[in-house]
Amino acid sequence: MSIQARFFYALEYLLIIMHSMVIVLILGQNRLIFPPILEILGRMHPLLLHFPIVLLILAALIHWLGKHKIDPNIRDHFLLTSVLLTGLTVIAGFLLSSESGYNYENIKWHQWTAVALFWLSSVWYWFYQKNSLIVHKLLPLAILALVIITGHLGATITHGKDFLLEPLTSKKSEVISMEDALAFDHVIKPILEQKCISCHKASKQKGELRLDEAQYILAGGKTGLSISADQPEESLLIKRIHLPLDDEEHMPPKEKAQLNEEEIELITAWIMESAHFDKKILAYEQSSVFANLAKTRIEKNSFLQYDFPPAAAKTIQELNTDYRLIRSLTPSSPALEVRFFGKNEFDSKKLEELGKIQKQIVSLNLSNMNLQEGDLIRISKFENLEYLNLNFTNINGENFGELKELKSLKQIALSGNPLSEESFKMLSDIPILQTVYLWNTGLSDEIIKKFQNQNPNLKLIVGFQDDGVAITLNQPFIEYDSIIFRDSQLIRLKHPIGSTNIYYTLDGSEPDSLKSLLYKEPFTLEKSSTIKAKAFAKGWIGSANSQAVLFKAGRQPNKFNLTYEPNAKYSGNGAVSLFDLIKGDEDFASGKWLGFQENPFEITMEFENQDTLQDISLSILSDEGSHIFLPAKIEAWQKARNGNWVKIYEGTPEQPQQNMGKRYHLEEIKVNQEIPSENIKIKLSPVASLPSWHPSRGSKGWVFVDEILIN
Amino acid sequence: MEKEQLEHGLNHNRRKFLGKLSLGIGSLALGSLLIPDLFNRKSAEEELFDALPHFAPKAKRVIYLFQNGAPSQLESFDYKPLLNKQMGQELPESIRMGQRLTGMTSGQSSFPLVGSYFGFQQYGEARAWVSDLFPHTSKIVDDICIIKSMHTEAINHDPALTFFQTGAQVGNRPSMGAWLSYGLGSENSNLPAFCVLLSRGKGNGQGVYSKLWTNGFLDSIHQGVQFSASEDPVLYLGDPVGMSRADRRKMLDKLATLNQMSFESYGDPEIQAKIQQYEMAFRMQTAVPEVTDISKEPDSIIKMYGPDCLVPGTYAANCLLARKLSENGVRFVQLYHQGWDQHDNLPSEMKGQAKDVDQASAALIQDLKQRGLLDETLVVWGGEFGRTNYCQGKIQADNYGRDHHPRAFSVWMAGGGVKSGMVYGETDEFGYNIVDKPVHVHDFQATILHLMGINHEKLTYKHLGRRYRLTDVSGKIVKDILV
Repeated sequence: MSIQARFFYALEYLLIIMHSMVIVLILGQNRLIFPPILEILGRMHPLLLHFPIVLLILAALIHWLGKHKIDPNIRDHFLLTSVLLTGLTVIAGFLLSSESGYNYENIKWHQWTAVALFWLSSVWYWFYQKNSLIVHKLLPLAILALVIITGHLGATITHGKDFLLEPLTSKKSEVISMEDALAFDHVIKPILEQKCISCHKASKQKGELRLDEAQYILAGGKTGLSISADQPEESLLIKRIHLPLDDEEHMPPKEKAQLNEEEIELITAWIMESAHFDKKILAYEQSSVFANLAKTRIEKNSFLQYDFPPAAAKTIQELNTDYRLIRSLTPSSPALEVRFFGKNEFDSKKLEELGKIQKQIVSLNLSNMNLQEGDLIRISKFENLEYLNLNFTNINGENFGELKELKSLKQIALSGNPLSEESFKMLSDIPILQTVYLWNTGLSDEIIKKFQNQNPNLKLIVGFQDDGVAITLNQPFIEYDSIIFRDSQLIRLKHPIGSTNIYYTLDGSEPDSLKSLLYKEPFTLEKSSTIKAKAFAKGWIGSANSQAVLFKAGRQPNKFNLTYEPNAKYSGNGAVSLFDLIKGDEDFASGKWLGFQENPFEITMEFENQDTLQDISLSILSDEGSHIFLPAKIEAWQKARNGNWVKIYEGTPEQPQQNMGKRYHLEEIKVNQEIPSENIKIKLSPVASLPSWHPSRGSKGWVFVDEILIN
Repeated sequence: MEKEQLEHGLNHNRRKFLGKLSLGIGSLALGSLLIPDLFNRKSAEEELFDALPHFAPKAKRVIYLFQNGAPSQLESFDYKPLLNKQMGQELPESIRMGQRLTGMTSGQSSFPLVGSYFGFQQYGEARAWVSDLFPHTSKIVDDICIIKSMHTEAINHDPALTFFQTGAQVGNRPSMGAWLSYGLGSENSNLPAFCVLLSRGKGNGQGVYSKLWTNGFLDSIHQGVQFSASEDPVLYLGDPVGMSRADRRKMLDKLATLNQMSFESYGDPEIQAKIQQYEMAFRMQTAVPEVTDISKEPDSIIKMYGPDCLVPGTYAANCLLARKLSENGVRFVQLYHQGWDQHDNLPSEMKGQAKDVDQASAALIQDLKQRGLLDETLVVWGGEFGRTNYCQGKIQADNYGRDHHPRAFSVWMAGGGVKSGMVYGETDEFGYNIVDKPVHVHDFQATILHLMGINHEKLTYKHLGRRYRLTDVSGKIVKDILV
């Protein structure tokens, strides 16, 4: 016998030995214990299994297509090799299944079909020479079928049940609404499914742990309970995640995808908050960390749901103008947001042009544009629209019926539009509408209430409602050219609210809406007056007083002279400043005020026509913080052209007891009509020593004068 | 932009060629030797893109109601009955723990505790304490999130204000609004992305300066544009008398042609930027009057904001204007209301200040809400620091004052992704130190950027050889207050 033939016989014996081994393995099942070296063979199962699949299929093909074209010797060798490798794979499979983590229930079908395949292929080999129908027609067919079935069952064990058909059957990550979301099913389970369940499920229970159903998670695994409610730090599930990556116990194993920070936070927070399985996310307290993380996650998922194709970048660019903004909700999303600006630039054509991107528009803001009723029909073509802002667009909504085409519309803002009841009712036909903004729409409370009762799931935002409680008007403005005027000046009264009536008085008395003058048009003021004005309007409480004290400076002296120069820092234009009719402002260093400290303020004035002289007023500033006080003493004298000075007035103004801030004063001196008054002298003496309450007590005070008014 | 700048650099005329010949190629070679990845670094645009959202941002716009001068938290949102109980007693050293003081009270020999002269009530579902000075705010507590545990590093107005606005106490960094304009650009290209509105109360005031709304080292288009209360809200925007709009258009077209010629020969991208800015100003000439016109607001708006809202330059008018600007796509509207610095006369001054702002601030929230805009607009109310729990000067029957206090104060936020009806953080019984959930200014800034969809660590700008960011090297997002 040739060596070749001997070898062939040896192989045939080997086949017989294999059969007996398989029988032993079937009978022994997991009562057998194998030396570690055999475990290596077991772990080669995933490698070996490719041989029987390829070889047996090839053998069947050769049998049908070319058994006569091929040398029978080679054909027999080929078939024998195939059967032997099938046997080896089966044995390796048995060895592998004896390792922990495989449940008999899940592998039994694969195991039995594999054994059947081995037996049938052996039968085929031994009886190949027999010219029977069974051998030539049925066996190869049965073998082919078994190869496919066994292969598929095996793949199911390693890759999961739905692996093969997943691309066809799986829905895109299911979009779940916040209202329906459950703590476990919609938040925790998806994480476990992605990162854990491939090794901890019915078919592959590494460490005897299953994480695919609540009951198994609670049951735990070989090492103990996987979670201890409220105590994430004690929970094995969390502990394992936090072990160093190189630690053998670290989960998921380092070659597998790891949990990210957010996922870890979520699971930790879930356990911390009692690891509820069927609790709704919305049922958690508002302060719940878990619920908040979960909400973010759910929203993020629902955000990724857009399945329409993105619009061409060029189209978006072309449609983008200064008055029409089009942009992606995020850089990577196909969803677009469109906003219009500039009322005068808007017309319906601008809306129509959006037809090119009508699939992609998710958010549309037309607020303050002048819409036509027909524009709603155009809007109803934007099939994926979710947010629509139509505030103050001047529509009454007769075409709201069209909006029912918007199957994704969640929110519509209609504030500021004069809606009719009929159009308002049509909103209930929009399928998933959630929120409607209805402020300032002219709809009565009753209509809104009725609608709310019929549509309890809709959120209607009515906004500010005038509760009828009257509030106070603000003061009117008194407008004039100058506080000091020579002959006359025009006075205008204004109020920012157009519908108010302004009543005023000129004699300093309180204005009211009965006796006082009603302001109709600007009026002329011809003498020094105190104007007081109040605004009134229906439904409002009358305003507080506005007040203006205006001075007429009827005359000027023919000559005047300051005895002492003002302080060089505050000397303005010298004495002329006192008669320029320019009132000094808050800034006493502006040059409009004259300041005196070392010397008193003393002025002599000469008048040609003294008969009309009545009074002289001095406009004085006080600002204690800046050392500016009222004069310590005010004195005035009169004299005839060649006469002697006669004192007509002496007064000591009352000084404040604390810092009162900037104030303006008018000191009036009546001219004595009984004696000649061709010359008048006035003297203001500064405070010699600041009072004790003042931070600079003892130093000299200032006197500031800006104007002398003579009538 | 970077590409154009590169082209500009490569586009040589004779003068530039001669000027650069001496240094040109040699330094290029040296540079590439010293910095190996000189030529394959990320461009500024790529870096910016990294910082931008890959999820939809919660807030698209910000309205920041800055209460300048630092309103007292103890008379607004941080209710401390213990201070009333221990009125006049010394602040224990165990509470003060060596906190540095300003020059205004460091000379004081005694630090008598003083409680609020104003009552407090609880409001809303959150049962938030709000003082009687803020009756309108108390009605919107369910729409806002009150943070009682803010703290800052500065103790005087200018550095504290600058710190809040720019992330640094010294003033050369871009303001928050400028950063957002840089990161997110403008929504409405006819209006500036960053607008500033000023108002002043009768209380003791502190100045605000344009450095608070500066673009810093960012491009000048990101600078805040101050609106004035005068008839010209934006200065120099109107055409001179006698110039028609058509004339202006013609003039700009001719100018653009000249600029374009100049660009073609020099290739400087700044020239293109200039042309665009002229065009934007031209569009602003119609857009600004349209937005600032409040004469067509319905009567109920006046009742909401208070009649002062029709008086230009008041806080109420600025709130209304802020709503209109924001509604029209202005990314960041910054208000300042001055006069909150109550070292003295606190009871009377604070009453006036609160009256100025209370109604209009609450109305703004309500107004945004009823237009469906509150969800996408973030509103912030608060000052630069808090005030001491002890009295500055002597306690009188109708008068007391409080000094600056950086360790704890209150602000509130509303809308755009912030939890509503929430009170966050807690101070101790004395209202002096934070005992729970402190929020640093950088945390606060990081949170605002996050709400706007920006990663605060990635929104950087390279200047003088290093990358700068609003939150400097710190800042943690306050996740608990996010929706």
